[in-house]
Amino acid sequence: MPRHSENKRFRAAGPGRQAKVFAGFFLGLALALCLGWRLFPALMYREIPQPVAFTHASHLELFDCADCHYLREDGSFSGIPGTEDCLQCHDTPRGDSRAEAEYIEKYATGEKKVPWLVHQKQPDNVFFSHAAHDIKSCQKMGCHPEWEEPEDLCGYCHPSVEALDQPAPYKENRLTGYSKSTMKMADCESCHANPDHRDLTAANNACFTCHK
Amino acid sequence: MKRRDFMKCAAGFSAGLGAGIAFSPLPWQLLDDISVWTQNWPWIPANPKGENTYELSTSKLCPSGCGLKVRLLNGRVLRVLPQAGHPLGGGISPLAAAEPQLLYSPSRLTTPLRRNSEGSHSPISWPEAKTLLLGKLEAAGEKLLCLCGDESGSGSAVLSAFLRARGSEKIFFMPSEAQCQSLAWQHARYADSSLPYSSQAGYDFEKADLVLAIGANIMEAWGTVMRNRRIVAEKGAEKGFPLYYAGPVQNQTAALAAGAGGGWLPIRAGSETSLALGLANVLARTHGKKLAHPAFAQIEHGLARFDPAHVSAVTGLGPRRLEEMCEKLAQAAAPLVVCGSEFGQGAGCGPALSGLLLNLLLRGPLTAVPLHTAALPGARGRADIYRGDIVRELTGWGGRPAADLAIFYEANPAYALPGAAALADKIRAIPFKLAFAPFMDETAALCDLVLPTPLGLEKLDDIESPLGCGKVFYALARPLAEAPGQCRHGADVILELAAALDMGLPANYEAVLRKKAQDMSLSWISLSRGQSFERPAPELEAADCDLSVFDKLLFRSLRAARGASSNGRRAGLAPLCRNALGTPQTGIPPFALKTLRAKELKGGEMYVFANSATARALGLYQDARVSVRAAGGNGNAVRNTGGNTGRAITARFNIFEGIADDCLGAYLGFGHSALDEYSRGKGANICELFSPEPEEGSGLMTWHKTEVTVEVVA
Amino acid sequence: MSMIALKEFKIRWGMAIDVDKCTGCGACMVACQAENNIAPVSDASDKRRALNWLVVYELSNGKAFPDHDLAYLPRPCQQCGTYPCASVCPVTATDKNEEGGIVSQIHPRCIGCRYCMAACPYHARYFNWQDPVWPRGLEKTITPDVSVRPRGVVEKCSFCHHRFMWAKDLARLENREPGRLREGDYLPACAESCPSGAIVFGDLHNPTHRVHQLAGSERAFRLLERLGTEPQVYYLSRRAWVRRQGDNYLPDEKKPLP
Repeated sequence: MPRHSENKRFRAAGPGRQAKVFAGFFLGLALALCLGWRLFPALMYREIPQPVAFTHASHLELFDCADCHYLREDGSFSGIPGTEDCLQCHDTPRGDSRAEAEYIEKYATGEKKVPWLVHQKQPDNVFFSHAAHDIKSCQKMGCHPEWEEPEDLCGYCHPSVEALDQPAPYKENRLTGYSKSTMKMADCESCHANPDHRDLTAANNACFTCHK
Repeated sequence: MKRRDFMKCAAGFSAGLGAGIAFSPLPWQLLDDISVWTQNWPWIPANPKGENTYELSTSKLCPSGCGLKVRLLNGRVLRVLPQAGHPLGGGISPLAAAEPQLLYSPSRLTTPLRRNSEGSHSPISWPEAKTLLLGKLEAAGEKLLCLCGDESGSGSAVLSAFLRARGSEKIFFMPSEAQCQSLAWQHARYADSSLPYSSQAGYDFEKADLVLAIGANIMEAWGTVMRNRRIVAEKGAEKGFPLYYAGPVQNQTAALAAGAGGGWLPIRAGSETSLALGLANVLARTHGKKLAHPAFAQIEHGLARFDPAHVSAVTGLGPRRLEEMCEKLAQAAAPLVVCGSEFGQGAGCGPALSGLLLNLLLRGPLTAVPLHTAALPGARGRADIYRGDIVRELTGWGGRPAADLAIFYEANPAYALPGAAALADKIRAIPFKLAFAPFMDETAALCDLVLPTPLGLEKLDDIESPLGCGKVFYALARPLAEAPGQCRHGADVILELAAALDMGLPANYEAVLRKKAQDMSLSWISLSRGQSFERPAPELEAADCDLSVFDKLLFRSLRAARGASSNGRRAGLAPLCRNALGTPQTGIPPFALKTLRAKELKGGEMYVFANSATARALGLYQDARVSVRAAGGNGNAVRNTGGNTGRAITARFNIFEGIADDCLGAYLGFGHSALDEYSRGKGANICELFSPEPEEGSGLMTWHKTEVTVEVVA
Repeated sequence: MSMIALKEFKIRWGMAIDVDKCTGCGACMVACQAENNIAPVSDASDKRRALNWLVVYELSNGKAFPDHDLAYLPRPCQQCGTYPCASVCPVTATDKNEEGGIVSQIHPRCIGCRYCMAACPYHARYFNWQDPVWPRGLEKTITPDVSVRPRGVVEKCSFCHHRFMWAKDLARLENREPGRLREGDYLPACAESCPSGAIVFGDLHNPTHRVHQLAGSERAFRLLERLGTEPQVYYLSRRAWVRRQGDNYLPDEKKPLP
């Protein structure tokens, strides 16, 4: 290809005209970044309030985490306590807060199940074992000295709620219906496929380790 | 701005937009979200979540009475698993394992239904149903009839007490092998009627070191199948177990026998008794297996006719194999013979009596299992009720029905009685018919009032020593699931009616069961937690038996028996039972359909089968569409059901070499015209082909020697 | 011969199925369907709709009456050591990479190309030509344990892998080593339900497990052993004709029977 024609075209563009292209480019870039980073995530999720204004903070004054969230006898995880568990104390109103009155009226009186929105709800094809993710086995290895309490490992996946007077904000993905904080496969793999873990921990990245 | 500049600016803008989007999470997260979205289609059911709990129970649905470990999710029945250590358990039967699907079936009956003049049913309330029923009971007086489909529970005691209080003795069970066994047993054992309780034959597999099943499909459909299989598996874990099966079809028992190291003795359909007596003859003559009793000479005289040559002609089994079998029986320390009908009904007392004779000669581990009757005023025991014969009753009716009101308690006679359609007509003629049914089966469909009942996992009921078990067994079926809609236990409804009529019966069924448990000195608390009880039963002694019964009933009945013939295009029908094919009341459970093989059911057509030699003789070929017709003309058919000869079913034909010559095999359990899509319109009901005839001696109706003609149709 | 080198694990879950004890009753098939959320179909003879992870085949010695003999052979996934299926999967939806040697099948990852079905010599894989349908009410029998598969994906027996996970969880709770389960801690639904005890399950590598002893029995054979697939399912039979049907032989082949 003749070199002079290229030069000619370059000259014809000129510095001023190039500026217009760049100006357009940066304008577009700025807009797109703004859209992609700020507007899109805001549009993609909607915030839904939890059905009951539950306060972890005041419950933790009386209980340990494991009083409500424990492993059952068969090794499965109890998850969120049912209404019958809550009724052990809340069969009559405790205190005179509006949330308490609402809870008693809506759920406690009819012993109805509270439709909690679960931050970490996993798809049906995922098998997650709470028994396997036990901090004790991590502490044995001594690799994560910063993990002292069981909650330190829980907090790796779950939003930290100990200090909250209100339920943690629940953001639902409009397309998938999952919570914004639901772990994706890549999050699981941050440990399961971590080369530092290989041959040291029981974690492995076989498909059936997590899928069912 | 010039157009050109604008275009350049716009091009830059687009490029920037593209670059910006690419460097933002938008496309990547969108892609990821879309892929997540496609994993959860709203029309694909989601997995439930919750807490698992397990409860023990015993199966009321499965005739084997196997033990259940029921898995509940959030308190709802989810799965039925085998219960380790249950006396009648081991594994789980396909029927018991399939029960959860029946519980939640959309075709369950949920309200009382009244039949209107057009023949369709419309819902009515329970109080309406009760008022209607009380009025009809008042009008019917003592002209009541009751047919009970539950043999192992106390429901029959409640019904019999109710009937007796109304002045009727007409309570019957659906015809079954248990009835044949019980009658034979009663004839043989109670000539003196000296014992205060009744009993039944118990087959003590635990003690046996050789088992010969003649006819009885003991590993699939005859008696306590799950226990039988567990014991044979345990005993034969290392070296196999000498299990032998004699019957027309190489069925499940024969398959296990071949695998265990025993074998299959092919005999013609309906010739079980002849084979058993042939064995008895050789054992007595050659192996010195005799009874020290004056009546034995008479028996020997009767047996003389059954020499190997004669038996071989009747059964089709070579004399050599007969003698080999005798040798093995004679050498075993505790051989057990189970002789019965290969399809669990209609064989009369002959097989049971000849089996009893063999066990007496061989001193087989047979026990006398005492039966308990619920202590209700006027209640009749199981053995007592067996003396009635529903087939004889119905066929004996002339033009007019002998009952004004009939109660069908968990029974489906319109489908399952021999020559079903002919007897269904008799039932239809009864002025008022009441059905207690979980599903709209063939019988419920022609009843004037249909009351919805719970299934086995939904009700409190009892299971007492089912057919075949060697020890006293008692357990409760527990109401672990909630019955749909307004289902109510039939026995409770009957007791409520009894209260309304001032009969002095207990207020509810639970009270009846509690009293029975107390009478048997069993802990109600343990029972209601699902624990089952087993107690040893006394061994059978020849001295307890009336040995003249063999001459009176057995040899007499065989005088009238004809040898299997294969004149022209006739074949002996060899019906087969299969646990997975469900019960007449429930039909085939959805899960069980897939256990059927390609040459058993294809679309809506079932297969009948014969071996290649028989196929040649009958002019049949693989996959031919055939018409199977009951062959009449033997002169013995009862006139009232005589309309039966000539009734035909159509099926496809399969060549299967595991069946004796001159026999045509076919499964029972197909051909429902009612029930749901998993049962309806699949194959044909071979009960239509049966022509009941009375057995000489006992008078019990039999239909195990049905001859059929088969021809290819277009 | 297989293209894949034998994949070895410390634990090799395996079955020894005693063909001589099987009556063909179908309890294992019912248990399998109930356990693994396989939808019912009203016409089970329609092979496009009827899926089975476990099928009980009827074997015949091919002889005419009265020399006829028959046997029943339950066929789960054979969990091959040199897995022909996973080696052809273009998206790694199926793999054999977990301790225990169970061949995994990840339904949401499957693109439905069915290469694995073509590759599997045992017909152990099934394709969902249609979405599964539970008639109203019957969906209450769906268990939490196995995800429900939509149309367009391949599925197969997993040795009830979720029960393996439960057994490990229980071991952890009881402070036992989850990598060293005791015999019987983990049983697939079919093995648990068999009334004849025909299906023995355990670790093929563990000499204390019954399945290890049975796999070494002179009665033992595997299906199509000469393909080199190294199945983890062993069959047992005293009958030579049954063992011979485990593989394909030339009519005049002189090779001694397995």
